[in-house]
Amino acid sequence: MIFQPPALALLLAASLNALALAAAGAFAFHLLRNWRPDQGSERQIALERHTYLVSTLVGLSLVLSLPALALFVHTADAMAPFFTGAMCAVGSLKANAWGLPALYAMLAGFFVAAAWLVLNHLDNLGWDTPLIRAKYRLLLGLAPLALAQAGLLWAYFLNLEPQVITSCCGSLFGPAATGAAAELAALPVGLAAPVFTTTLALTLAAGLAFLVRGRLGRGFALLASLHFPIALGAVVAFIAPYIYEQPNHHCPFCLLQAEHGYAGWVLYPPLFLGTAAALGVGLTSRTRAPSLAQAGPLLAARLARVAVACLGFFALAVAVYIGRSNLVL
Amino acid sequence: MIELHQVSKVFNPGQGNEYTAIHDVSLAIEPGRCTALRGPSGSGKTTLLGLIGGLSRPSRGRVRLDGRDISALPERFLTELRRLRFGFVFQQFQLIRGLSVLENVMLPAIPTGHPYRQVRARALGLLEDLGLGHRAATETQWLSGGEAQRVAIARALINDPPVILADEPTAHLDSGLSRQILAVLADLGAQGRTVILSSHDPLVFEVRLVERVIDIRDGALLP
Repeated sequence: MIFQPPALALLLAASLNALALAAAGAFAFHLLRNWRPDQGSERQIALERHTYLVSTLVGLSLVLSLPALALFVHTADAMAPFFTGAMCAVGSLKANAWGLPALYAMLAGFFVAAAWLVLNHLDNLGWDTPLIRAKYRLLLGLAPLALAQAGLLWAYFLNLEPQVITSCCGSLFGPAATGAAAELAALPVGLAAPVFTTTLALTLAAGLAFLVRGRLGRGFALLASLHFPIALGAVVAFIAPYIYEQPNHHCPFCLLQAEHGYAGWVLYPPLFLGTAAALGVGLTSRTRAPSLAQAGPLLAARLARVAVACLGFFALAVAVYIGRSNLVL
Repeated sequence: MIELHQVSKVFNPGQGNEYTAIHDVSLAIEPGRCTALRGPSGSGKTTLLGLIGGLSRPSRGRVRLDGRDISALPERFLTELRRLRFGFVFQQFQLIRGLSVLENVMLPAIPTGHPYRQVRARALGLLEDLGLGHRAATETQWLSGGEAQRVAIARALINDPPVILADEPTAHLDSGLSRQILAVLADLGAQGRTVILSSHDPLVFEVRLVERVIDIRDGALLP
């Protein structure tokens, strides 16, 4: 184990999050079985009272867990000098078998947590808590994910050995590498760039159309969720090489470092936030509850503005990085 | 229409000092009428008024206002409902010492966001109507019992609520002042407001204000 303050903070936060969500998951199970809003039984009234407490606790826990993804990637990047062969977060994450699964669990956790927070906020806007069942069903899925996140983080940090020789990002994304990451890196720019720009343009257009006409919110969410993996793939395929000005350097993690102007911190937060907000638009547009007839569309419009602003900023940043680059692919 | 359906209120449930203040009460209160809850001290009148006005939530059962269940409302909706639909007149007046009569009356209207001048003008108008215009700048600790109760009524009316809940409005007043307060409440009833009051003061039931009397004892309604 490497005792880094961020690692300890991550472990503490993930453990508390897992504990809170495990308790909330048990409550969610109880609520879904016994929720009868038409009845005034003692049990129903007790559930109504407890749901405020549980929602507040889970909401707070999830809000705190959102930045954990960024802290985890930053920690992995900062730990690279401890491992022989590691140049960036990739080396740290590959220092044992738990690093990449932990990253994937945190990625999934980020979006599910964001979705739950949107659903919870929306539910609280209705006087009859119309989304309570959907909210707690999602919580049932979120609780195992939080437990998995915590377990993977503990397994990862406890099994880190400084004497382990790991591999640098070149082994994952370089020309000699094999696997999905290498295939992404090998995608010709002539294919990757048009696909990326088309999905990004379509997503932004759908977001703007939703803002203007208030319709096709689910289409916007669908396009944004399709665009997200394509954008990550595009970073590997051609955006990163343009920023590094090296045709064979495709690593999406080295972008987080100072020598590359912290480009990753410019690109990733708006991409993640914009995608999460667009997913929120999809969730908000789905509801037909009469008590949300006014508040629902207002929230959807606010989320759409955030999504369009974030994804627009991401598009602009990509254009500026590529435009300033001396590399010609 | 205010409806209570099998409402119970238990304090300290599951503990040694558990106490059932209201037991399985079902009740419908018609709008625009004056209804009085009559019963001895400790019979549950104040608890029942609190449940009707959303000041507390039932341990079992439902309270509905115009068909909408208000006992399950999230707190922020319940707060808004209390502010706009109910005016409360408390037994102990509950005026804030150190603030003037005018400020006390204006206080419940401040969170509504209405323009200050408009709220102030309305508060002054209410004080004039209740014969307290000359006391607007006086701090409330210097008021007599009758004046304090009239200020409390003005405060209850500042947001123009359709329902007035008055808990023992004559409890601390002599007969003359009690008649004054009851006359004010009668005027409110004549304006079409629903007035619900609790009392064990015989004077309340002698005047023509009360249209319906509900007897309560040991937390249950008497037939």
